Amino acid sequence: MDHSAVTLKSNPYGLVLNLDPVLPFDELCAAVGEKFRNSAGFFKNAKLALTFRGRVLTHEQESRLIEAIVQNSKIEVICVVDEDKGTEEYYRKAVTHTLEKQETAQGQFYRGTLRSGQVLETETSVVIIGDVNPGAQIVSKGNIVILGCCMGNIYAGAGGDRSCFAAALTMKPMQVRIADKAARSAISKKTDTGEYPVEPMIVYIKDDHLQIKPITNDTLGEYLS
Amino acid sequence: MSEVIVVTSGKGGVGKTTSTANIGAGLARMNKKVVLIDTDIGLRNLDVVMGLENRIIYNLVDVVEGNCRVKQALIRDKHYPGLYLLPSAQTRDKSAVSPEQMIKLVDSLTQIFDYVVLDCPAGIEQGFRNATAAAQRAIVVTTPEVSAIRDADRIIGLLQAGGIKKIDLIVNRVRVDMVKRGEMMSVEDVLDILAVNLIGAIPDEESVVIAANHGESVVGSDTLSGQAYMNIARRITGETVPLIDLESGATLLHRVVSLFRRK
Repeated sequence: MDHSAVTLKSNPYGLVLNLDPVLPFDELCAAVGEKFRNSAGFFKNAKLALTFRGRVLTHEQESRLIEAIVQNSKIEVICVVDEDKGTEEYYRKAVTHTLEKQETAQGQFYRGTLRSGQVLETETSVVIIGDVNPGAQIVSKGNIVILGCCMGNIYAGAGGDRSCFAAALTMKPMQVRIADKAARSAISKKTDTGEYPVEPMIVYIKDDHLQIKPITNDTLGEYLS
Repeated sequence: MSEVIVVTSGKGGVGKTTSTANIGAGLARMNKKVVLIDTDIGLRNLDVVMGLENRIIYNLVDVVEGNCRVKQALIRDKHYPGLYLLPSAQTRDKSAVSPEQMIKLVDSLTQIFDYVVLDCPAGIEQGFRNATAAAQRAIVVTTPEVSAIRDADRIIGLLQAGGIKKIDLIVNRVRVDMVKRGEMMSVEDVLDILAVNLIGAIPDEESVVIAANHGESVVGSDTLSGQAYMNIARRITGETVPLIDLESGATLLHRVVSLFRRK
């Protein structure tokens, strides 16, 4: 097979594929696959942007080429950049933007106090470093851990996962929900003096009921069993 | 360098207007040039509290709509030559002014004054957006009541989202006897929840209401609340002033004076 059917050029954020303009597409596709198979060790599991050069491709052809690359190496193709805009700056923006978006989507940590009216929704488990004030809300498809005082509404396992838990250093929530179970705090006739001592608590489902218990070896053992 | 400060609370009736008037008087006592702007269009109060109601000819909306020059609408205070009021309109509503117009107006006032203090209306609608648009710093007023604290918390969140970094808190109407009996939140507990810088706590005193009803400020009187407001004004200018112990009275001198009064 003609090895000059495809040549690779790289910049810090992506790759430029110089394609042979006349070779039949199927042969070209095979050449690309082989090229990446040979250099899979070099690229490892890099995340990068791609530009195709030297040949006008249809959408379908583009995706077939990408498939050939992905199948023959561990490269994660973040985006395909059109040749005419294919400057390095554009690559950089496209790659960093996508990576940033992935990071925020994971949303594993939230720094600061969640105040009344603020809603934090995450697809994954979340750790809050700060307080959750009355009127604030956290909705997580995973677990919720609050390194602070929880006085708002929290909803763990919002996707329906009953094994999720919620924990806080001070647990005084308005409402707690885990999957399809909900509980609300007792209404107290006493004046709210705002004094909430630190007593780490965990909320989880056991025997079809919400359990709100202090974090001790016993309760953790019960939750894990 | 002039500063633009908005006094806000979310909830109504916690003492925004009274606090604005007294902070203004306190700053003016320190020989600062201060303008107070009443942004509560349709429900103006600041002029009444300052006793300047009968001197209003032009107002905020007139200035914004170009019916008069800014200086024509400014009213000088009765006591302090450095203190001015830009009153609000009573016959219009909040939509008469836009945030952009407020920014332009405040910009022109910062040329003349050391401090521009905006008295914000209750609520989080158009009036709140107008008042906060031009501000660099905010003073949030709350009382040690659960409902006021909830609203203050929401307001602080909105201010932070609006890009105002410097946010201070006044805890108003503190009743030491109730705190002692465990029937009211203490200033410390309020701070625990709201987690912002405390710039002063004002005791619940009749003198504040009486002064406001007379169109005077408590600043400058020998009351505890007057002293507390004066200290807030000093802290605004960057001085470090220790907090007054509301329980035992202000200073040794204060205690001696009250000792003689009792006899």
